[in-house]
Amino acid sequence: MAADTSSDDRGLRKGKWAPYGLLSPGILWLVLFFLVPVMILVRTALSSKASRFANPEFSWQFSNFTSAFTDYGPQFARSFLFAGIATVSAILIGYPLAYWIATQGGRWKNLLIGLVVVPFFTSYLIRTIAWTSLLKDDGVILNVIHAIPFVPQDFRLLATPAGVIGGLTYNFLSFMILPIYVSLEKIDFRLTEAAADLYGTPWQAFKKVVLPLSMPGVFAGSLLVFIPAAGDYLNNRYLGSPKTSMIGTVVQDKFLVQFDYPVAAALSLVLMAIITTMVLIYSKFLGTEGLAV
Amino acid sequence: MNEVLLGEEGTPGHGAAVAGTADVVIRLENVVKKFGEYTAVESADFDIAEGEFFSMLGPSGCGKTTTLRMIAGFEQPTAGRILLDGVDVSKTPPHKRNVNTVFQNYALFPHMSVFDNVAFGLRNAKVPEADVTKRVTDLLEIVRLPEYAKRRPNQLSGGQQQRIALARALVNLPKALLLDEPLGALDLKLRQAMQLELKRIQREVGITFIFVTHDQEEALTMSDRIAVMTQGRTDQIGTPTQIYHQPTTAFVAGFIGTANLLPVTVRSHEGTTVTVDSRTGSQFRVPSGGRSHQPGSEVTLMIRPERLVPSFAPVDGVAGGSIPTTVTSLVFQGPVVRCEVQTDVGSALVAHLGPEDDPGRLSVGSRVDMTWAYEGAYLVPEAIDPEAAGITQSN
Repeated sequence: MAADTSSDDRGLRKGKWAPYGLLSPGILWLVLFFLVPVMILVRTALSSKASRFANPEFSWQFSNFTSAFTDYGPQFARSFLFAGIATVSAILIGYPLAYWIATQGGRWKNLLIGLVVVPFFTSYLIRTIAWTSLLKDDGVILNVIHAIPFVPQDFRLLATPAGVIGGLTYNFLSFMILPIYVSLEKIDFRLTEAAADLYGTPWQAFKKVVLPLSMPGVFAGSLLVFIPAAGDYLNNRYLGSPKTSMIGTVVQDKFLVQFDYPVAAALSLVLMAIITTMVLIYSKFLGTEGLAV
Repeated sequence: MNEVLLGEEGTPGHGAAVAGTADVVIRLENVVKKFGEYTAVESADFDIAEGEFFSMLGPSGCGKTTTLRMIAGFEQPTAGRILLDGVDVSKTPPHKRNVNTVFQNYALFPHMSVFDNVAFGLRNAKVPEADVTKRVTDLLEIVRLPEYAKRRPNQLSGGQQQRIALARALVNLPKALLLDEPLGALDLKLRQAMQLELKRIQREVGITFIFVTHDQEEALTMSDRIAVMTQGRTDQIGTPTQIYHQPTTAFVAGFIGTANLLPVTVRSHEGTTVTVDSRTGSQFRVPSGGRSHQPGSEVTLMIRPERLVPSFAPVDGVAGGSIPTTVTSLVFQGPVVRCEVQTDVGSALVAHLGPEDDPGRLSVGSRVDMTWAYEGAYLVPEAIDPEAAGITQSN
């Protein structure tokens, strides 16, 4: 009897530590490559530099943060506006596509989903540069547009907000399609039969059953598109102009061109804080926790 | 309360009653359904009456679910017509038909509360919200789950989900309620309880139930009438008693309960008695069952296991015939002993022997003449393959 209890205790103790054992590689990784860099970033953001090439000195320099708002307000606003429009566009383009593949794809489903990720076979940078030749003033697209009557002669896409938003939408579209597809694919389509059986028109069945059940996918997709789009600088660099500059452009410029590490670090932290707040508010609104089935 | 529910509310949205066909709710006129080359339903042709508990019974692939789905509107017939209250609805989409379905896996909306699930049909039919609340509450009471209105379906047990699916369909007071193997996912005890529960609810609301099942016992327990289907054909439609005691095909005889089937040839037909020749050379006298039998025609003799007794046991009534056999197995099953025997031409037969039959006198390998009372035998007006002779049962 006594022997039994002691072996039980050992079993319990083993069981108690197992979760931590399993977590430790992940925790170690996060501490080393996320927590430590963020702390370095915070330290840098509170430093000041004597000259352009001097090392930043920690000095509780809170003015770096205030300048993030006072000097770069428009860039922040533009980042969230462009990322927001790109996210909505990606939903409008991606949802019908994912819906079509999930419901009509049949045995071609996997192939079609494979095609969705084909753009990833080419690097992000190359794809964005390729867009410049597509959107340029005497490029294929503009030649077609200018052939349409009543389009003003100075209409252009490159170096405009439309160009940047288009690039953002295109580059992150797959991140919207895949999670929406996964959540649509999981839906038991007998539920739409049940909705039709209960006098629901096809539109009501979609609105009341399919759409709410696919919201986790829309939510995940929105995060995957909005977050990188808000911090993106490549699309603005190749498809935009200084007039369309986003906060990512500023951070990149501060870090790599002006070597103004403290302000760049402060800007990055502010961006992180704003995005985290927005995501929390967004998830409150969508309230997807009851959907886990 | 339920009379009030039915009397005052009327039907939601659609379904004006047509005078003159008040008794028939659903009529299937030579309905055919083909999926490409495959014929799922060969010809469904029957009427279902107001307030009836009608079952479609058959093995999987017999076309029963396809027939139900055509009545619901999820499939359209390749040929023929479906009339709901006298109106041709063959091409009407499901949301415009006043019939509701209880799905095999319930298909409850996982993102809605029980209340919203049940209210779904009424809200789509634009029923005022005050009426919705009253009717949903009444229905949850009928299915005896009033306290679960705020829960989500995944917080309910299988049996509770089943009742909610039932309430969700019934709350719309459909012309007919279609049930697609609704008890299939429940364990035996719960299934038996739900069978009685379904019957009670059907009596309470007085709505026509069309029930699809592959379980013959379930169909016998609940139905007013049963359509036995196989391979897209409707073999027989009748009351449970008719189906059990007077099957019209060998398939029905074998599918409903257990049957001993022997191929026989009609020798003569006089009055209500038919004399037949068996393959072993003996002659049996069998009731005609109200049919006329042509001498020389090949038919099938059916004897239920409970009517077959050893010759040393007393026969209830006039003796109908006897076959020499050898006992091959004896299994004690509580109320009866299941005794399998083999005839001299190799057909296996089974007898359910009660204590009065004195099964203790038998042992495996012993020779015994199995006999039956005159009324215990029945002629199925269809020939069977001698290979298929012997015990036939569905499960």
